Amino acid sequence: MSMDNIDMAAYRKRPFLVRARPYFIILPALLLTIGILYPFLTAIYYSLTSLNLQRPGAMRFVWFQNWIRMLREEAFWHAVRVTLQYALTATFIELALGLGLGLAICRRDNWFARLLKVSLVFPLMIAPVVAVIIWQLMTSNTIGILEKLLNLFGVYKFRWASSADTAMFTAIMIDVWVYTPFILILVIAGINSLPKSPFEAARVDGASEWFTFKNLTLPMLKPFLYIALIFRLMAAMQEYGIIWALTRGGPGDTLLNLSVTTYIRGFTQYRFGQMIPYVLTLWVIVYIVSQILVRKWLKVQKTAGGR
Amino acid sequence: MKRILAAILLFAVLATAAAAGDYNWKQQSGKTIKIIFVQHTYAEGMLKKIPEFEALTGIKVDYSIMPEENLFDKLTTSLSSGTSELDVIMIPHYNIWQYAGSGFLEPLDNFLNDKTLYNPAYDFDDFFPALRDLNRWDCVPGHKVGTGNQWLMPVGFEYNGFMYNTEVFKEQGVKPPKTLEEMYQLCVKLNEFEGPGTYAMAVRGVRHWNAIVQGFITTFTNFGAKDMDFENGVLVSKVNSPESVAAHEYWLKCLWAGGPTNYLTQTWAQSGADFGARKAAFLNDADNLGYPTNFPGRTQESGKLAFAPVPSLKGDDNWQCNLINWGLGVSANSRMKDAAWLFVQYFTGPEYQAWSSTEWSSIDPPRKSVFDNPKFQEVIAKNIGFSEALAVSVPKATALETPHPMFGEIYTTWQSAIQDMYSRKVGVKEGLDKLKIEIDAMLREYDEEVGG
Repeated sequence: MSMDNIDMAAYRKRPFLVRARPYFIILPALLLTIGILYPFLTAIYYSLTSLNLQRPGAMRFVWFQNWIRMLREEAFWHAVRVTLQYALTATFIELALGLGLGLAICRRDNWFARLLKVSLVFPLMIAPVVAVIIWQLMTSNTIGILEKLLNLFGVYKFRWASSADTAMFTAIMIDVWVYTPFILILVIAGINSLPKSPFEAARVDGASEWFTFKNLTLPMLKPFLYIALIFRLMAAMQEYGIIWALTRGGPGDTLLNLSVTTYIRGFTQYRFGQMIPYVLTLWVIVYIVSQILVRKWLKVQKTAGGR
Repeated sequence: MKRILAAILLFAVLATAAAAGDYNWKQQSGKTIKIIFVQHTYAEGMLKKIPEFEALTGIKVDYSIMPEENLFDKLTTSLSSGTSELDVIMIPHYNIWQYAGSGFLEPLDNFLNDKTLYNPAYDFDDFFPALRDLNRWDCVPGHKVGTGNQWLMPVGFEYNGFMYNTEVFKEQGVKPPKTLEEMYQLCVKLNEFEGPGTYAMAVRGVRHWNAIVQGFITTFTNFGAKDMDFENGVLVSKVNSPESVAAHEYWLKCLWAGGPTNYLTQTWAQSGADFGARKAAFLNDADNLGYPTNFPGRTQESGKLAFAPVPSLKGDDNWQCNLINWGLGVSANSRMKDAAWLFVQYFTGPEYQAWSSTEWSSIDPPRKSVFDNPKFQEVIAKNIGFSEALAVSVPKATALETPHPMFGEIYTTWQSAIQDMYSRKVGVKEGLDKLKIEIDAMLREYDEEVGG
């Protein structure tokens, strides 16, 4: 029935509650959208003001001053570089390790593989801050087990997070330790859900392990890997807990990524007006990257599904 | 004549006792006050006595506890919102510089001068003068503490002391230093005193303002350097003065010679742990970090740790050490200000303070009467040199930082610069010249914001 065929006079005569029903149906969604958008809109508004928590009464509208200032600050570009370096490196290593471990564990179904499946998930159950404390103890030059281990190879006083040269490496190492199990779980779930027949056919045809991996396993696992990539990359770009607990963004400005810089700007300096452009920029970066990856994911899902 | 004097004295004592006895602790009965405690020994003592306070006053205390790292975020957000979410505030004196000028704190002089609310037995003059001054400020950035309104009442304090392992010092044939040069020589001699993994001087070094507010700022001041000063009526950074350059060069020399190898991430807890585990020969930090480390059974080296005043530049009487205190204040937005004051008065009063210093583990009592209490002297006598170091250091102790609302930001930037110098990413003079430009820009920006 087209709109032209609707008897508008009859429609108007229907009770109000009946006419309003479509609006009532979408009302929860509308309220949810408002609930989600309101903080964003408020944040955009505050980014155009001089809001300082120490002097909230002196807030003024400053238009795009905070945005221009941020783009001119070397600290901002440094934070972007640190964010990308940290997130890309950690995510890449975690994906590679997660995939490798998942494939290795799923090759056999014995007690050792089952034990590994359970024990490798342990780090994911620990809060990142607690993981940092564990690693701080292990990397301590006075009581750390890693120091003793390195001593066996003639390396003494390796500085780990206490050196600008190795702080990024140490932070990424902890990130990898905590979050690789997340990738591992997804990879194992993916491998277990793969159909058996293509692999049996490949085996009957005498395909090599590498050929099977390249042409069957990897393409069919891609949707799972993309899911892992989306979640991990988004979280790694916003990483705060590990870096803050480890070095507070130091040594110097070595680990001052966007999240830590945002926190410092907001809660050490109380400059919320200046802080919010950092938050929104991080949100925009994460949003764009996630949108690109989601599209890729939809594409590979179609390919893997043979569509 | 003697009889007349005795009669006057007796009258004064009876009058005071009567006045104290008459004090109406129930005047705010039925009210509820809210407070966030910091996770700290001082707060733990108060928590034990809250039931007694509630029974005495009829006031209900609604409290929560937070780690220090999160406390200030919560406090600042809550106070700036202008709501009456909090009545009593527990903060260190540094936060006066941030909160008082913003109108977040109620001046306590209002209560001290109110005959109904002020309990004569409270005896405000019993607090050490340095601690009364530490919590008094006129809210003018750059002005020293000691003038203006009283914003907090001290709960407990800490000063920068020199704490050492007596056994290690005996074995190595060394004594606590009298001069800064002697302290450097100790750093050289005691580095790796028991092989790799051991070092001379435990100090904090993480990228945070609190890393430099004890050992470093004391040394810096004893070189005759200043963080900031007025020039033609304008507050400017003095971090690149010749005295400051010398102080930084000296400090880095000590760190390189015998500081923690994890200096750039070293925190309060790690310094205390290393000192208590015989990994560090001495500790240059707050005395109340060394004190619990020496509790019987608390650490491996308990009972072997001793206390001394910090060394001066030339070994003479010309020295200072930094002073920090935690205190209780009243929120300006509170609707229960009078009840909040009763809480402040009870927990900073002589009776509670005596209990907390003798029965609980709060050391460094802010009240002279508690310090003179034989029971307290008996408690601290178990720590070698503690009483002597405290007696010598307290008159020398004051806030060595220039009060400014941007103190946290300025000092964090400063420690970040020290980290770069320590890592040899930048030379001392070059690093300090750059730091001065950064701090001056922060100060000007603050002036513009306030002016605007």
